[in-house]
Amino acid sequence: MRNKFETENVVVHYGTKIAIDDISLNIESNNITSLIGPSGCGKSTFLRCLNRMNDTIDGCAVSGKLLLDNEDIYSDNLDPVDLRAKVGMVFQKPNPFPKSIFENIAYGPKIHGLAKSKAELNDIVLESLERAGLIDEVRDRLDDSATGLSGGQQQRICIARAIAVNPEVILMDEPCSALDPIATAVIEELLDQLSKDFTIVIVTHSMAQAARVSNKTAFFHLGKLVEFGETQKIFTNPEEERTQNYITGRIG
Amino acid sequence: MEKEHIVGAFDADLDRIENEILAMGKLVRKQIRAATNALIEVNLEEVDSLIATDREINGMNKRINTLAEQMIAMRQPMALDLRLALMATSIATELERLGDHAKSTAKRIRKFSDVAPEKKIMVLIETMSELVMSMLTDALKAYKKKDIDKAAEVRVKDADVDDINDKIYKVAIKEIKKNPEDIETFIQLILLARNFERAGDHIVNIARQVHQIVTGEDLKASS
Repeated sequence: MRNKFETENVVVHYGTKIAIDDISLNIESNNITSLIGPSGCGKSTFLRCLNRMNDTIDGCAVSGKLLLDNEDIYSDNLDPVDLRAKVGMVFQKPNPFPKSIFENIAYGPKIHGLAKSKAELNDIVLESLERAGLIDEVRDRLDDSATGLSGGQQQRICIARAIAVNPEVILMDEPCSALDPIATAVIEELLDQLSKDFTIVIVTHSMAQAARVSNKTAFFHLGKLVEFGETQKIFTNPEEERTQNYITGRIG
Repeated sequence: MEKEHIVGAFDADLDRIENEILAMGKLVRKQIRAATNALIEVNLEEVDSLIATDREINGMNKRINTLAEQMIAMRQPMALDLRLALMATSIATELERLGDHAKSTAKRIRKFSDVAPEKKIMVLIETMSELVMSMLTDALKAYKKKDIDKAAEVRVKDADVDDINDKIYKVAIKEIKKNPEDIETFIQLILLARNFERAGDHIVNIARQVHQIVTGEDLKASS
C-alpha cells in the first residue's frame, strides 16, 4: 500500500517543553490509522503536524521530515490554506458554524472557488451530506440552523464540511468523545465507508474504538512512538511490554 | 500479569478465575487418585461417591465458564487478559473431560467385582495413573506461573503414557490369545488404559493452552 504521509525524526517543542520526540511514522493511503496513548503522550500534537494546525500555537517549533505525497508539508512554498483543504480536520467537539445546514457545507467550496454555479454548489452540498450519511435526516431542512441538530448529526455536518472541499485526508481528533454510543456507532460505520476514498487518521482515547475502526494503530507514550503496527496485532499480541500494559489498563 | 491493573476489581476478577481453575485442577487430581485406588482395591463402595464428585467437577466447569463470560462482557479484557479469560473456559473443559475419564475408571470397577484383575496390567495402569497425575500437577504449576518451559515438559511426558498404553494393549492381546475365555476382562483393561491415555491427551491440551495464554500462539494449529 502506498504511503500518504512519510514522517521521519519529527520533534515538536512547545517553548522549552518537548511534546514529541523523534517520531518516524508512515501513514498508508486509503487506510484508517489510529493514534492512541495517555493524555499528553503527543498523539494530538503529531496529528496537528499533518496539516500544520500547530502553526498558530505560539512557541511551537516543528522539526524533522514530514511529507505528504512526497512533498514537504513545512516547505515555505506551501500555502497552509491549500494544505488544509487537502488535509481536512474534524475536532472533538462538533463545531458547526452558526449558519444554516446548507451554508455550513457550502462555505468551504465557496471560499476555495470549487463551484462555478449555484447548481454546482448545490450538488456539492448534497453529495457531501450524502457521503457523510446525513442527507436523509436533513434533506427537508437545509435552511435550518446546523446548531439545532443533535451532537451526532452536528459531527456529521463537520465531516460533510470537511468532505465538501474534496480533501485527500481527513484528520480526526477524538471525533466521538462527545457523542453517545449510537451516534458513535454511526460515525464508525461512516469511517469505514469514507476510508475507500480518503486516508483517515484518528486520535482516540477509546482503545475499543481504535480496535474497531482502524487498520493500523500507533501507540504513543511520553512523546515517543512505542509501537506501530496492524491493529489486530497491537490489540491481541503487541511486541512491546509498554503497549501491553497500556492496552490492558496497566498504565494510565 | 506482573503489573497491577489500574482497576483493582479487574485483577480480582482475573485472580478469581485463576483460583477456580486451580481448585478444579486439584479436585480432578484427587479424583484420579481416588478412582485409581478404588480400582486397585476393587472397592465398590467408593464408586457412588466418585460419581457424586464428578458432578461437583462439572459444576465447577460451568461456574468458570460463567465467570469468564462475565469478565469478557463487563470488563472487556485485551491481549493477554483476554486470552486468560478465553483459555479459562478451554482449560476448564479439559479438566471436566479428565473428570469424566476418572468417572469412567470408577464405573469399570464394577466389572472387576467378581474377577481378580490381571496383576501385571494393573501395575502398568497404576504407573500410568501416577504419570498422568504428575503431568496434571506440572500443567497446573505451569498455568499458575505462566511458565511455558514447564508446559513444554508436560507435552513431552505424554509420550511415556502412550508407551505404557501400547504395552498394555500388547500384553492384553497376548493374554486373550492364551485364554480366550477371559476376553471380556482384558477388553475392560484395554479400555481402562485408554481412559488414562486420553487423560494424558487432555493434560497436553491444557499445557498447549498455557503456552497460548503466554505467547498468543496456538500450538495445535501449527502442529
